[in-house]
Amino acid sequence: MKKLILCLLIFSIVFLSGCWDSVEINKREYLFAVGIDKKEDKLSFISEIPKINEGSQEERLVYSNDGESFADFYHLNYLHSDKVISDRLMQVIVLGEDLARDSERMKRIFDEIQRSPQMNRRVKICIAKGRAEDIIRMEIPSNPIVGRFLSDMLVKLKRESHQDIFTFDEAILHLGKTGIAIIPLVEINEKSLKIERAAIIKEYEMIGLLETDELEAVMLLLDPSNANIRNINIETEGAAISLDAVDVIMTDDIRLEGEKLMVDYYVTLYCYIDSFIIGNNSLEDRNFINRVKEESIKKLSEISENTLDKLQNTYKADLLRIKDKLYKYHKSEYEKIRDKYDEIFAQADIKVYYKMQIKSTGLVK
Amino acid sequence: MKNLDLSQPIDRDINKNEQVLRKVFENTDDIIFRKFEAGNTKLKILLLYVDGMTTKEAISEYAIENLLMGLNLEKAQNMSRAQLEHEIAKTSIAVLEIQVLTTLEECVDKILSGETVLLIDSCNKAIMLSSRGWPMRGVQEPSAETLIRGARDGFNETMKVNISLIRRRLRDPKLKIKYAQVGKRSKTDIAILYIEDLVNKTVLETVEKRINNIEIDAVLESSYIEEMIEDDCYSPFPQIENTERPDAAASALLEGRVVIAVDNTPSVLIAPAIFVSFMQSSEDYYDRWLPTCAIRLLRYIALPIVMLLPALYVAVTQYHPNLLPTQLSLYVAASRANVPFPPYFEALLMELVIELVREASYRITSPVGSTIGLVGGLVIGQSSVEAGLITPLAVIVVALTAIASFTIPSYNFGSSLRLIRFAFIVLAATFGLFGISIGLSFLTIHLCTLKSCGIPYMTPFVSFVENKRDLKDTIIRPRINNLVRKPDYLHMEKKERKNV
Amino acid sequence: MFNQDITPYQNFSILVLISFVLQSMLMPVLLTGVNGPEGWISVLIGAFLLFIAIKAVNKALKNHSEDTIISVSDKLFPKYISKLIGIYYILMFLTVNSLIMKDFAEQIKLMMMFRTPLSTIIITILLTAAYAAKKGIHTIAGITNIVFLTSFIPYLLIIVFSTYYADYSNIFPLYPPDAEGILRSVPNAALSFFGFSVLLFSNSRVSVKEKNLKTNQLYLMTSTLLYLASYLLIIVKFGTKEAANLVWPFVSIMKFVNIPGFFFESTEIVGLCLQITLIFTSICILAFFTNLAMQETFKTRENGYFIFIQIPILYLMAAGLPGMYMMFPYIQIPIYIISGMNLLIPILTACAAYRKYKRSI
Repeated sequence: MKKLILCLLIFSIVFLSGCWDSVEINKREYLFAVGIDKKEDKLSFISEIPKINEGSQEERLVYSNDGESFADFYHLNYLHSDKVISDRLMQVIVLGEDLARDSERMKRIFDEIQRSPQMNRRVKICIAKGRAEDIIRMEIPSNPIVGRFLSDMLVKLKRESHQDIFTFDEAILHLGKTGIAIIPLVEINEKSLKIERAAIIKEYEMIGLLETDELEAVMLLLDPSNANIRNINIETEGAAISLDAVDVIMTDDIRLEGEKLMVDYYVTLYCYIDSFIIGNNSLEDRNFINRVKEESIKKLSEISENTLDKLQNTYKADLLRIKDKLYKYHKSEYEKIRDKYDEIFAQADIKVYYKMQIKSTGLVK
Repeated sequence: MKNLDLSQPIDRDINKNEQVLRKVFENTDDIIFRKFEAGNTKLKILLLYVDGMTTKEAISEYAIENLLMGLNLEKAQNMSRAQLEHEIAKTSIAVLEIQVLTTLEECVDKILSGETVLLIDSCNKAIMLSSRGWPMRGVQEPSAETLIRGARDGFNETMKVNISLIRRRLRDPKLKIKYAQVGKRSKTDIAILYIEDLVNKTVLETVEKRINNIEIDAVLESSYIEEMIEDDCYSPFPQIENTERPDAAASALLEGRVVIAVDNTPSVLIAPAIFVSFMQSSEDYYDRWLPTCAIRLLRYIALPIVMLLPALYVAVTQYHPNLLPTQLSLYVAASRANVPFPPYFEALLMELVIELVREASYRITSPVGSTIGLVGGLVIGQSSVEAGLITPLAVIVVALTAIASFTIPSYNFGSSLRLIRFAFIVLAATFGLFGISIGLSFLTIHLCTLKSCGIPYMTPFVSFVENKRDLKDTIIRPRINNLVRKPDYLHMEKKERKNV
Repeated sequence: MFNQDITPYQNFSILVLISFVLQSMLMPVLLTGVNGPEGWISVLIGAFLLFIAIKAVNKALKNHSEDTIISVSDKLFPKYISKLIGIYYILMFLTVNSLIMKDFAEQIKLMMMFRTPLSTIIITILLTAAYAAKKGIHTIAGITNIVFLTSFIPYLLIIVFSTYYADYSNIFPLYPPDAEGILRSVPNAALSFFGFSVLLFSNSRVSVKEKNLKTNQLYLMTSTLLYLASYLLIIVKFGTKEAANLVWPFVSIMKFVNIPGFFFESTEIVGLCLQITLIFTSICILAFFTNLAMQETFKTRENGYFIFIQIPILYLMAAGLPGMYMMFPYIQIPIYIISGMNLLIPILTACAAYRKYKRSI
């Protein structure tokens, strides 16, 4: 009798309750990409939702609305759609340039994403040159779903160390640790999108941009083991030569003497020759090779110096995370200068010393 | 048989005995009463047997003739039981088994067991002449446990034949066989087999005690005994193994387990049986080591598929679509767009269809049997998808589950898993993955509580450090020359078994 | 309920599992307690103190190996003190159990079942665990061993994969350490080794009591390694500042699991499913030992029926208590008290037992 009562109790609990969260897979709308722009005192959200159809042609819906936050946007969407919105498959968030320059709104957005249990912290993040709406509305012939296109592109760029950050998680970690992050900048490129440059975010506010070669120079110092310097194009004795650095070894020496910060980077590049002039046998000459190296190093040094100058003087942004290394390895000295670090960084003596070795000339001499 | 007290000793007056027996066997026309007179003094002798259960030639041509010629019937009247047995044994050599009976009850039991009973006038004892000989099925390949490599003989309905098949494989004088009878009306013969120096004495005592406590009218199949002696008959999981293969039975005896052979059943019971026993097959020890390890691993992979795959389909499509890769989520959503039923109904419906097909295929004769697979698979599955009743993914899930269920070697165990699958589907429909986790937790509790003749069902997993030697023969199979120890969980005296 | 013994390694599994669950629940307190990534020093200090305590307690209570801490205190202390000790353990187990239930039910609700009422999740877990707790220690030991193999080890393996793109230099700086923070966090670290309280009950149920000391020490070493590994994993993944901001570090870790070639998009749900079985097992364990503590305190023959008293208490406490993240500001003092009592009671009992033994010689 007792067992019967227990069974009845269990069955009633199971059959009379539950299913609060039951929403069939085809009754959901999946946000793939969300663009956020600043609009007066609100935010303008634009979302890309792939159309669920069994056909081979992929289609999407683009839906936009204004709101104060993501929650507000979802709520409005809920009232305007026959399906339940789901952000669990969100691939990428694109922040408009005007929004990126508003630190208060940026902090709010980042806090909401960080706090959300549903939203994946591995969602990709990028800044749009101009309005995020234009990026989301872009019709790319090869891949109609912009979210997937951007997501795949960002994964590739991160893997090959072209960009420092590609997920929201990395952005929030860097901003929390050093207050500075380099977020990829997405731009319209005729019938497609491109990510060549990066936005510098300091204290949740966009303060500038890094050009392609500047970004390369920064990535070389940030992540040397995965860095690729493609196409160092120089001219030596009238001959154009193109090199590719495939292996990079870097050591750094960071010293803080009172309020003077001195940082030396020693970078050794192992290069391959990509292209030269056919018929020209100069590559067999050791002296010529040395001159090639000198020219290359000179070019790289010039780019590094310009970049460092920009970081120190224009932006006062420690993108190289020297602050982080000081905190970890020279904590007691760092604590003394913690409050005026920006000034100390601006006056720091940062030098990059290059060394190059040409490992291979390819399949021919 | 009211007012007939058969437990009284046999009367010296053959007529009285005949009267009583005719009363007992009233309206039973296949009991033959053959009365004749023998010897110079015309001594009355009554012969009784069941027509159709005895070898009449052995009795008429050899036993009776020798008996009448060799036995001094006048002296037989006054002999003691032992003297009479000795005298008859000297003469009736053609009959191998002879017993002297003292009560009519014993006579009735023996007659109904297929023996011939001889009553002699003025003698208060009867003679049983072994003459069992009824039509029986020959030794054939087991229908439910076919192997690619291995013996093709299987048990049949005659207990003594089954015992002989086991004896052929174990010519060990320590192999002990104890007979018993269960069932008030059926008086079914059973035999308890064990190897004296290997068996766990506690398990043996438990089995014997439980068999002795069986109170039932008739035992028509070994499953009756199985249900009456197992630890928890309400559990969906079997706690006693049954096999049609003599080699499996012999292997179980060598492990120190107890085998119970039941007359009229073409399989034997093996106790104790734990979880891992049902995941092992005889073929595991006949094939090469490495492929066997892979196949065993495959079975353990099939186990969660059998139990959980449809439930996971329901949970993922209703509660957690973000678990799936993005492309697959969109494809599943698209394929579900026009399906009128919710995922749990789809899963339950398809599972029901599979069970119907399975059940129908058991009932149908073999020439038509293959048609059922065709009808079930192609017609119902394919047509349902085309009609928009279910999604292709649901069909794939259910078909995969059905195929995985056939990898479980034990039919009983597989049936239990199939039953549990429905419970998991309901839990998944109600609470999603959380419900599945709770269901798994309940299942784990139940399995950890279950015992088989006192041995924890989930041995050796419940004490994997202490029983680490036994773990060798679970998910993988040890090499034959490493199979030197008996399962530690049975704690036997003799732990070595060489090169079996 | 009678004559149910567990093996030494089943005891080990019980202690490691319950400690791991408490460690994951109290990890945010450790992360915020120390200003820097030196919390592992607190863990080592706490483990060292408990190592000494385990040795002392085991040696002193050798002659009382069949008894739990409450039975021993009953023999050595006046009646009212032993009753107070019994009531203390009952209340502590009930509180910890309800906190575990509440904390993990909230995680399940937020991550998996957003619209399901919290009370439904709590009652489901509670009834399942209660069913097991009533069956006795033999069943619970078996469940623990199976869960250890099928859930705990895969769970640990999965979270190792979250170190993709982790910054290992986050374990610095080591010098100068935040000495005050480290010492302040030692009670928290010691309390996280909750198996120390459980072994005072479970040791009496082990079949081979001679192995108790070795098993307990092995448990402490294993638990310390797991605690250190978990702590360092969180630090290298998130860095000190972000880690201190997290409410449930393990759930956040699960969001970053990146197994090459793995097709699941939301790995945190897979991890949570494994975590559910760990939680349910630890609730069973604590429920059983609460039963045992009640049996010893109120001197009853059986303990199985105390679960019916526990169910409503646990449910009300779990449903009524605020979440862990709300309690963080107020939890420090209770941690000090409970941690202190957990160490003091066994040490005092051991001293009393030793003194009695010396007198009897």
